[in-house]
Amino acid sequence: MSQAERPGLVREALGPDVTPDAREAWLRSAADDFRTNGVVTLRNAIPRPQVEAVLRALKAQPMKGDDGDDRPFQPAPLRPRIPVALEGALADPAVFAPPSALALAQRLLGQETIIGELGLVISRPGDGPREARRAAIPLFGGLDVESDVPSAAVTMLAPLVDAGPDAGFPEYWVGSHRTRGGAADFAEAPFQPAFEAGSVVISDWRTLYRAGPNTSGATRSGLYVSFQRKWLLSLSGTEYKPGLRVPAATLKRLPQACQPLVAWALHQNKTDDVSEFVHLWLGRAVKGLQAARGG
Amino acid sequence: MVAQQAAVTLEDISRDAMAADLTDGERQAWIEDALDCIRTNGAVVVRNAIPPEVIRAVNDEFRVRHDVHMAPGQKKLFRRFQSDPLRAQVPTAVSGPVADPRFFAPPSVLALARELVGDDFIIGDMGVVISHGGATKQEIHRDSSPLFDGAEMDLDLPMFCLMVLVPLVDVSADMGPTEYWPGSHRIKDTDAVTVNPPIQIPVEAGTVCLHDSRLVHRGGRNEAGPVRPLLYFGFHRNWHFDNDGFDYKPQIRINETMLQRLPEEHRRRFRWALHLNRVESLYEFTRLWTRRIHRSLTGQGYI
Repeated sequence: MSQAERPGLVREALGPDVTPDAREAWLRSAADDFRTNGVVTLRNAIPRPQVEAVLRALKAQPMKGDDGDDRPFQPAPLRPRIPVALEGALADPAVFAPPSALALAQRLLGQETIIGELGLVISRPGDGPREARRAAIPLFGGLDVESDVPSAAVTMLAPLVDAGPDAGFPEYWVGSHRTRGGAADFAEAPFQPAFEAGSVVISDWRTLYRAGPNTSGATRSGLYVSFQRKWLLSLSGTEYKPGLRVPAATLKRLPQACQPLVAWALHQNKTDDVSEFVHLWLGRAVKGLQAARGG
Repeated sequence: MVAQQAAVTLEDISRDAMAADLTDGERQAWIEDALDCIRTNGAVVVRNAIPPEVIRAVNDEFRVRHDVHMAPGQKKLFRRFQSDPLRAQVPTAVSGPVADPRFFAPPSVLALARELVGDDFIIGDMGVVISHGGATKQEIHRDSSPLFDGAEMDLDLPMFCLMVLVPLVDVSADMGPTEYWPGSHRIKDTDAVTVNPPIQIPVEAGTVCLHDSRLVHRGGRNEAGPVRPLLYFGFHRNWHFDNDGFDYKPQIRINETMLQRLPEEHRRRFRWALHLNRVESLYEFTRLWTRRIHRSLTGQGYI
């Protein structure tokens, strides 16, 4: 059996009219399969109109230079990873925490799950292939127990456009969240999910994945959301960026049930002092003026 | 009933700090013995870990900087996170004598921390608990929540947070010393653990008490009266973030200036917390400082 044929790798998301019993059965089954596979695609998890609204909003937002406020954290200039503020169309829980994905994350990580990171990952035409990697950091110095413990984090990748295999979205090694390195990691061919706007791919942060080259000729973008246990502090690459950008105004507007997901990050988005505050807003004003003049 | 705890005494979990002139072999033997002690019992008490003059400098500064908390009978305690009004818990700035590595990372403690929570550990929370005369016993507690929902494996995992307690004065048995239930870091049922009495840890200033954050413990009743300030540090694996009870205070009080004054090798342990100490807007910044100035001019206590 190839990896793609394993049960539970692709599921329809929960429908809005599902009964509590059916919901519980779906969750139990999805969580069990996920614990085995380390990755799952949920089809139709986000309504397409919402995805399109996000895409429109992001396209309307001027993308600044790679060394500017976007703060990319990928070494490759053609593949920026940008923490975007949770506001506007993106601040819709149906988008950043779709019910099926959130329910599955909470089943795996507990009811105190938070969103630790949220942003865009963009691959521009000509972007090359990446090395296979895990998003996880070793919790206990690389001891065997790392692969035995429950998930500490799961990553949701939500493509904002339909994309074929040539767009370079990742492929995943099923079950590799439980392997401990070496040949066992790559014993089988990787699973290449179908990336469609509205679907989401959820992976254990230990699961091996590899993004391919973008030979499609088009820019492809996806929203990434890291659901994680509340104690997980990822310092990697975050010295100069908040992993989650949450304006206080957004927090107030969110449904109460969603607020605990992001409330923790309010303090991450504060400015240091008057000088930084002035600098930040002057910089934004200047850039806004430049953009208005077509500069 | 958890029987094995009764056999453990304070002496069993106490060690003299590493002497400066140990050979490599002796040093390694000391570390392994202390590691074995803390892994088995959940705690180790290191005597003479911090030089007296270093402790004195911190204590002297506290009497000035935290006079509002240290004054006998003071009831209005700034940022109180303990249920007893006679026990203040205050985040401490990483500045002045506290920022001396001989204080926050003495050699014996640093050597153990590197082994227990990784060479790249961070200092994840830091503050002072000031117990006044009449303070009652603290609630029995552990210093961390389970990582994985309280599953059995939580207790088998290696340590992820090493708590370091540094009393600034000699603490006698009637001054409310810390009380440990040895071995309880590996036992899920707190009620079963506490059927047995804890061991009290009266110490002399300069002694450092280290415990696994999963260990069941509490602060004792301060009957004798002298104010008992105790600094605490949480040495965390660099991915562990304690956000329980920190809604209104930073886990660490540090700014860029304080960070730059630290020896370079220690900056990485604090740098992560810079963003916790930022103010949100010009309005908040102004409000914060006008209130501080006002309090300073009027001599009002906090709250």
